[in-house]
Amino acid sequence: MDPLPFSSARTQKKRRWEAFCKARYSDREERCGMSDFLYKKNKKFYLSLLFPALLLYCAALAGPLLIGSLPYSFLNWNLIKGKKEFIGLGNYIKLFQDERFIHAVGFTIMLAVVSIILSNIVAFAVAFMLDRNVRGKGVIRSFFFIPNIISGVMVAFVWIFIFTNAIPNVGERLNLDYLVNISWFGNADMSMAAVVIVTTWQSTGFLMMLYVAGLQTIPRDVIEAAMLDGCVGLKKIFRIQLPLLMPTVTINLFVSIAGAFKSFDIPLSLTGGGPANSTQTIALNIYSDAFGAYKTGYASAKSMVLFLMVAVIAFIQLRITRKREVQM
Amino acid sequence: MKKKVISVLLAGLMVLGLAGCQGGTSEQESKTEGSSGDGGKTAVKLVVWSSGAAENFQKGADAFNSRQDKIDFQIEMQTGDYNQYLRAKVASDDLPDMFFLNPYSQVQQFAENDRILDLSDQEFSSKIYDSVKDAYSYEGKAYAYPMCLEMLGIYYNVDLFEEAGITEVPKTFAEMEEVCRKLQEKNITPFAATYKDGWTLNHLFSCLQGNVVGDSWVQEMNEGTGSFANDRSEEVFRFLDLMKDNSGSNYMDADSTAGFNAFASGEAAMIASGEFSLLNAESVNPDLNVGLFGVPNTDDEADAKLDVDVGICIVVNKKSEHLEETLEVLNYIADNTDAEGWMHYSSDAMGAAPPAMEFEMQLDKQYYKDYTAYMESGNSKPWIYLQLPSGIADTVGPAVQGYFAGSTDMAETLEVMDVGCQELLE
Amino acid sequence: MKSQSNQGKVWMKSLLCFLAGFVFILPVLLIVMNAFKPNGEILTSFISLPKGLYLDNFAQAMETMNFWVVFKNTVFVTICTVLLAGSVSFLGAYGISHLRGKISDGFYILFVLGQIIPFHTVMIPISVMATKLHLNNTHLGLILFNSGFFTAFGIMTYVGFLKTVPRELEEAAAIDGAGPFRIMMQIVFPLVKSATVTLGILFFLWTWNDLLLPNILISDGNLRTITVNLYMFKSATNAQWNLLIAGLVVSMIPIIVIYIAGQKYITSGLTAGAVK
Repeated sequence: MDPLPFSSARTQKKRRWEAFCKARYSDREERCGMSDFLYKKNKKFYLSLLFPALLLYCAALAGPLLIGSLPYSFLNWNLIKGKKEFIGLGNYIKLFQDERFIHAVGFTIMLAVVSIILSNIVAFAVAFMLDRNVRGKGVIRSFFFIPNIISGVMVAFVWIFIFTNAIPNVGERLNLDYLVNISWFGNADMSMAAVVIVTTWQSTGFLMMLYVAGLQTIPRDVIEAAMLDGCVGLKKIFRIQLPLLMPTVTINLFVSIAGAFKSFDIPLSLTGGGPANSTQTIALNIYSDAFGAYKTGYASAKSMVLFLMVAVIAFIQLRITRKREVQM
Repeated sequence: MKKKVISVLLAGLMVLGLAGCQGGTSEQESKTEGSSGDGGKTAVKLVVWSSGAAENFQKGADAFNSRQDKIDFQIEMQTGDYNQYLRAKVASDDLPDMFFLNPYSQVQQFAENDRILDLSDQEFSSKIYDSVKDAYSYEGKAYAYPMCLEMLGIYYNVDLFEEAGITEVPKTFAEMEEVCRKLQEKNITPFAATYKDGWTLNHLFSCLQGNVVGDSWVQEMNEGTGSFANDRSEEVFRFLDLMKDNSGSNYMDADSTAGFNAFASGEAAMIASGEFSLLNAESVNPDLNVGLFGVPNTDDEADAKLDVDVGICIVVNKKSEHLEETLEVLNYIADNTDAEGWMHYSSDAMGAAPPAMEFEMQLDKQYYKDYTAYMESGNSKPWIYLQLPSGIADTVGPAVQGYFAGSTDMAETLEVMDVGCQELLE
Repeated sequence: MKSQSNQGKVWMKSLLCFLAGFVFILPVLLIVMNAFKPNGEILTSFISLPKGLYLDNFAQAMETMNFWVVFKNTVFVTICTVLLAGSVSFLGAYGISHLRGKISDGFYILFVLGQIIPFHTVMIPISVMATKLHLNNTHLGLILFNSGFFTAFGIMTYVGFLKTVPRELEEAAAIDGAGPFRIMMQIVFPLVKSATVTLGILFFLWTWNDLLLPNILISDGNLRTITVNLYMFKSATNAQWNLLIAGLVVSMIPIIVIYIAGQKYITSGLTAGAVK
């Protein structure tokens, strides 16, 4: 594959076009660059590209949410009992007083903050380490990615074993009494720590994969030029690579946030939300309302609130990081 | 490059087209299957939830299919959350011919909403044990077939009891304390812990609570006027305290699998659970000598009954397209004269749940003999939590967990349960 | 001399990275190791090496799971989903990144926010809709709904990566007389290869491991996917761990193979100086 070579003939052509454009449109305020011309010419085409995506997306996601879940949230609807009555904002008022829900929100936010920071840092470090000058990169990268492939049930199964069996064993051998006697699932704090550890372990690989792909897009000559200019080590990372990597950071942060707030598989299989619902995340709380107590309306209302909450956070995040993205 | 991309896209479209066709044909297939099955047979589908017994159900179905040519009895296992599946099917009005339901409230709700068939005139009605009639009836009529009974109680390792010098099973709380003391003397862990899984605690609490409440309690709870707390609650919580003191260290870290294992491999002498706790024993220690006794948390011997109740109800969809064939399959399932039929495959093994009527089993284990003795002397009581509002298990389990973890005391735990129950009634 | 010490450095670094990766993946190795033990051994001695190479778990699991049929189904659904979701995402992202102003931002937010929605929230409405459109119990329904979900993430990723494609390249091609479709497919698409392969792998993974959607949509035993059947070994009160682990190990193999193969494509992106 060879990229288009920029010949002098092309540059001349470009200059001629720009001159023509300026002459023709100089009475208007618009800029007259090549990209503007292309934009005007192809706007319909670009819009049409969006059509298939919109269709699929609305049918699969937006539609069910707005036509299904949103109306449900205004009902007091018990599916098995069959009772369905309109109660307006009743569900919404109730959930702000729901202790378990509020606790779930607090726990989820804590889980989100810690696991987002940890997993992004580890993922970036690993992606960076495995970028150049390492033998067997592909295999090592897959080591980090594989935990992401395994579903929550198996991950939980093996980690429960590690927490309750392997760690005490290691503690015994190293004579660390603390490790031997620790009860990982006996109280809320340790259980929360367990959930954070396992969540971070599983999500790091996924983020690492995106960082790896992102690092590939930084042109080598930009880096080489920077290094020639004396910019190496940490300075290189923070001044050159990170800003150019901003689009990837945007994606990763956003996905981490969305994923952390949707966190369900691991709390369910690892602790069941326990002990005594202390590690129940928002998604788990909604699930137990919807499928344990059959309160469809109430669960839908909570889902809407969750959605709005994350939407606000994500919106803020997107604003911040998109501004820092650099268009090549 | 362009050609490559276009050809990939075209290939994709072609594949999609095929998908559409395949989707179409399989839809057609399933439609024709619905009406004429494969090779002209009528298909009757039973949807079951995921359990260790799924293979056995399939064997039962295969036996039926091999005996006749008219009906194709299919078992479909829902491997995800069964309640989710039910919800989706109810919402899209697409329930299968026959499906599993939990006894009491689920059966009653489906009957109330006129979705299932009245089965009172079926042959099995007269054969079911009287004690479990309420579990599958609504307004006096039988709306489900109770496929199997499950028994909650204390399973104990006969050999370990002998080792500790225990000659009689405990029937009162004082005797229970004595048993634990004797086991501890011999350095045997009395109870196998399973407390990381809230549902095991819900079962335990149901056994204990059943002994301290009056006859009208269930009705009061369903009307919203009752409470989990009463003046005999002390008898429930002292048993929980006994278990806390006698379950080894770090008992909150053990989940049901760990607990079942510990019991099966002889690391603990007792486990407060159901017969399903013995399923793993097949692989770990098939020679396990296990007995069974009712939970003794009161001072009265007569209270130490076994908790026996219906585990699975099979219901018939009122709107099924093949009611006659479906009922024929149901009668096959309910046939207790058939030594090589459904009951043989699904109930005759260690850890399997026995049928709700008399059936000659080949299983030769102490616990099954104990169970039969309890049933014949009428010494059983129902699983009380099943008669409370649907979803109560998710409230009681975590509440008791909080007590075990030490984060709530008796009064607080009971209050959490009451509040949870109230919410379910709204 | 210099190259020798550099080589030494490279090997040291590789070894350290390998060790770090190995420790990270130990829990997974623990799982895989246990697939080779009979059930009794798994339950009693989880952490020790298997006593022998016990392959019965695999045979039994695969038979109970109806493995080859569900494998075929899953491969089919997954490939279709990957192709559909990938192409639709790319087209949509290209459109968004070339549009300007509020429209572009608006659409971006619209798609991106879709990732926040947990599946349970829309599960019931989807199953109702699928029944009405006669898409339930078909592979087409699975493909369409899955793709719809994935476009949210796909568009977000592609928009990000499209930012790394220099505008001048497109402009140059336009000057040379290439139409917009040609620019999109011939110039830009190859440049975001690493994103394409990454997304392909992720979509593959998500479709392959998906439990909830196939469970709700597909009831016909012959149309099931691999993960749905895998969970038949786990129930509310019990689990047949030996079969579950064996089945899981077997179903993990395709993804790992694809991931390792895909590494090559992710990292051979075009980074040579194109702008100059």
